[in-house]
Amino acid sequence: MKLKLFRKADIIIIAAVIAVSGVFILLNSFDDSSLNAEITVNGKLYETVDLNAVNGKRVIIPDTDPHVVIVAEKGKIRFESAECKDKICVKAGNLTHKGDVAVCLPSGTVISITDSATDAVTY
Amino acid sequence: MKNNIAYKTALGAILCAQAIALSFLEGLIPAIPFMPPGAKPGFSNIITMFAADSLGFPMAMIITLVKSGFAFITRGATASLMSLSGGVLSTVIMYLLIRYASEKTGLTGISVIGALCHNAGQLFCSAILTGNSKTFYYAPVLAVFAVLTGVLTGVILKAVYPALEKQKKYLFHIH
Repeated sequence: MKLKLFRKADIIIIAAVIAVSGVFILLNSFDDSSLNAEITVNGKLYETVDLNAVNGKRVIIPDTDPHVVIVAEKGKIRFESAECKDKICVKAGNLTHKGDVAVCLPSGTVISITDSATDAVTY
Repeated sequence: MKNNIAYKTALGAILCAQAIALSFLEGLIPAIPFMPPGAKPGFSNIITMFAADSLGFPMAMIITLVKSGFAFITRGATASLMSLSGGVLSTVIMYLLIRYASEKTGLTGISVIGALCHNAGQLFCSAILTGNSKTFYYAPVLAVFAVLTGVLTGVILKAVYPALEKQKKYLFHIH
């Protein structure tokens, strides 16, 4: 085997990856001014929920196959249950910060938390 | 005799079985709280990397393809596509690094880049499947996780490399 376990470039690679992703994670977690959850099904916007304006519990069931149940509460949103096998979207838990995202691949449903200010420009 | 088709088939089958066994076993590890949802350590990459270094590109790619075929049978089309998109990209890049850049990068670096490529392939695939590019929000957390698992699998491969080489020779002796 000609491969060594560690070489100098490895440290540079690891440091660069951690630095770049660290910056993105920090940028996303500091910005909590507005919380808008976007629910898209197969690429089409299904609904935008203003999480700061939700009173009590709101249940959203988009028309998808397999079915997914989304629950929005003040400041957070999550996949409550899904009829698929692996339940990766449910395991993602509550989305509370800008940049948080939960994906249910079998049903093509994505919940992502966005900044309402940028949305105003986008739409 | 090492170019014998029967020898290659047998060795390939054993390596595929080992890769599949590893990905099954890592599925039994309970979810760690801070772990990104759906993220896995990718231990079967130990076998793919070994194949890419010791047996060449075709064998590494065959293992990747068989693995995604197994995902299709056991976990369905979506899982299989995810396995394929991540696996093919990371296998190609890892092979190129081993072949042309092993003077500069070590096992750890190649393994980390392999894990990153696996993520990148899967993120592109899930963006296409969901029609929503917001899936890329996952990227930074996944990248940090890829560094941890990449280092881990790199170190494990270094430790088991002699055993995998021995397995190669052992099979040769039976013949």
